[in-house]
Amino acid sequence: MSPSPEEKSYAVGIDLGTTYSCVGVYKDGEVQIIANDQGNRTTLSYVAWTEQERLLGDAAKNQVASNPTNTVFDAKRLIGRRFDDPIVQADLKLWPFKVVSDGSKDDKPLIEVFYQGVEKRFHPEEISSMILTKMKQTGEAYLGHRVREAVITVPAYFNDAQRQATKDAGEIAGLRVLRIVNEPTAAAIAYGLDKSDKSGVAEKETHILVFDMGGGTFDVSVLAIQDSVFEVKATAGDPHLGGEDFDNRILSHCIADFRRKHQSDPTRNQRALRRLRTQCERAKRLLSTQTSVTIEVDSLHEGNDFSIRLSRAKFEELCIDYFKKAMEPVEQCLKDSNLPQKAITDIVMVGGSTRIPKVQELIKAFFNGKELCKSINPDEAVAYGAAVQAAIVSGQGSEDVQNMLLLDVAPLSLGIETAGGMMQVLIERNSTVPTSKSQDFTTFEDYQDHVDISVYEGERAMVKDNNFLGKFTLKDIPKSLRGVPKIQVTFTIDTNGILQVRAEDAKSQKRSEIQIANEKGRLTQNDIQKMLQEAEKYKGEDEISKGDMLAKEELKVYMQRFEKGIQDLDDTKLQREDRERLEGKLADAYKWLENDGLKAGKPEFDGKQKELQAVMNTVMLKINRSQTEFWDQQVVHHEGEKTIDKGGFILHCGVDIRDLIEDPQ
Amino acid sequence: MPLDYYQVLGLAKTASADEIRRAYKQQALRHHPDKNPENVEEATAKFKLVSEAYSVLNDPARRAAYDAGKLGSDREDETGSNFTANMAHDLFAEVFG
Repeated sequence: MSPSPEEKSYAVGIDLGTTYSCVGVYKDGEVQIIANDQGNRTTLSYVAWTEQERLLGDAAKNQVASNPTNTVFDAKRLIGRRFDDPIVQADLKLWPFKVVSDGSKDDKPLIEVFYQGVEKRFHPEEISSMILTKMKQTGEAYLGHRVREAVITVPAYFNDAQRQATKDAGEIAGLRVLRIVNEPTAAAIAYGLDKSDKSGVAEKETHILVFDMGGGTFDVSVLAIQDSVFEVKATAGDPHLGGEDFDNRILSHCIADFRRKHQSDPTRNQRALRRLRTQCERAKRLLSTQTSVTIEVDSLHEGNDFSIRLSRAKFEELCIDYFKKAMEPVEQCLKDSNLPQKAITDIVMVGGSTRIPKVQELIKAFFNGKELCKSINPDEAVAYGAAVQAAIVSGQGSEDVQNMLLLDVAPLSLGIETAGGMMQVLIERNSTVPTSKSQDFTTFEDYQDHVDISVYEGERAMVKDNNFLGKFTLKDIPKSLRGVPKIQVTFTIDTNGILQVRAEDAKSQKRSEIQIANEKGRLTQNDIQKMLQEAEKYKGEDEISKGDMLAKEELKVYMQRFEKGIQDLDDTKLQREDRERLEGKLADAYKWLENDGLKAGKPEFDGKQKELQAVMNTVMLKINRSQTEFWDQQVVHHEGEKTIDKGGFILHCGVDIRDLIEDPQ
Repeated sequence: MPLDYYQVLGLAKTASADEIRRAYKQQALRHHPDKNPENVEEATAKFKLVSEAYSVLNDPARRAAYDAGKLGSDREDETGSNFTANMAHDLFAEVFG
């Protein structure tokens, strides 16, 4: 379980969110949430394909309006679901990208995009793996070594298929998934550590309720915390409720308004929808702090501008059924935990959507006006907890972390179909994992030589109302009269909340295990291998184009510095002919960038930069060199390096003197 | 004779609810597979027994039934003692194919 001792490598914790993802690492006794290459501590869960390259994270979202059909998000809303799932069918209508069925009996959804002129299809697991790859790279850039192991979080209410698929996504990203952890549980760790820092380790058992509402999913968990043991008492939720649903309501409201005002329908105009949606999301965020907001999009559709005033009250009216629906799992969870309402000492709010005042108001009212705990960062708490769990599981944490223990539960009851289509539950919901349960079954007919075992998850009495997980057959049962054979069925749930089922005939010792994986449309090991190779190929392409992109960006930055340099130098220092020469070179470079720059690679960009540097240096050498000032500069780092190069001289105009020294001229 | 849940948690039959909770957490810390990376299979099997015992004793109704001998453990004692070894074997088979 622990990493090979010869190399020190940290395992990271990744919150793989519907709309945002976040990565953290436990290092030197504390958790560090890692900022991405854009400096953001959360990364958009977006992947896009352009003519030239694949973009991940924030860069993908930035170009969404111009490339809506090839910009993919919400993979978490697809993962582990079938194409014909009503939820998938409903979501489809709102996505600008195309989702199709793979046409197999498993009816897996595939996301279709165009990349370099070719149609490409991806499983949701692959999209998620790309986001995980981005998070992995973010971790690597900070840690300065390859990240091989991770703890990945999922909504507590994710079912078996969704957990499996998420684990697969991790594997495709080249990560060993140490653990799948439930999001509210991870958030509880962040809360617990925060508390124990302030008040010392709690001796008495305290109970908290974690209310975790993010972009796409909603969970409620009740935990008991005592000493350093975090015990999940119960969990409930809705795997398809979150901020995006609220955005959609605002969006529909805006579209209706636009139709009324302009007698034209923008719903088929993907670009318009995307632009409007972005503004709707922005409006929703603003309404958490202000009471009204204006949504404005110029030339939204057929040349018509769009503008609407949205009050907080109106927003609440649009979404109130969702907000009220969110209180049901709270009630359920409290009931399942067998605790009276007043036993809850803290209500911990996690996820971006818990910023919505109405959501806060409703939960506060539910708990008779109890103050909510907002001391932990709602966007980072889950990754924080995942990072701690990564340290616990990989044995890397300091002593206080090593003494911690998380006791999580299975969110749904699991059982098999018995006579008359009834559900025989073997493992009840909210059972602490790992767990296993065996039960004996027998044959219905004389000389029956095999039995079919169908596995389901859910809370309803009839299996038809529950979620089918898979079916398998135990063969070659020694022939005997009905009721004689003793067939032991064992359900085992591992620490990830993932199920294995085994059946054994007591007499013949014949044994059969379920391959739920293949039965219910999970990727096979073969599929995963193929995708892993594909992902590796992408990584190569990404790195090539990343190198190109980086060189191009560096050139652009240098050109800006160059331009600023010319401006900053006054005429007393810079002779007119030199100024013209510099300006001419810069103009050439801009022209080059616009034309040749489109298909140029790293060598060309670097060459261009050298060329500019050379001419600048020549001019600079003519100017008084004494005008230098002390300057602290953070050099451009290679991935992982984190040294700050203190000192260095810079000329008055903003050119680093080291450029001059290095240059042969 | 059913498996002795009190013994699993190292408790007297008169243990209070609070003592049961504490004992469970102590045993969980000792036996949870996360705390025994060297010995996952055996630890998992032990942990399952611990949480089974706790799930019965922590529920007043089930505890009363168990105390009155009306609620057998899921396994009789003879299979109970074999259980750990069997479980370990199964898990071993599961992990290593």
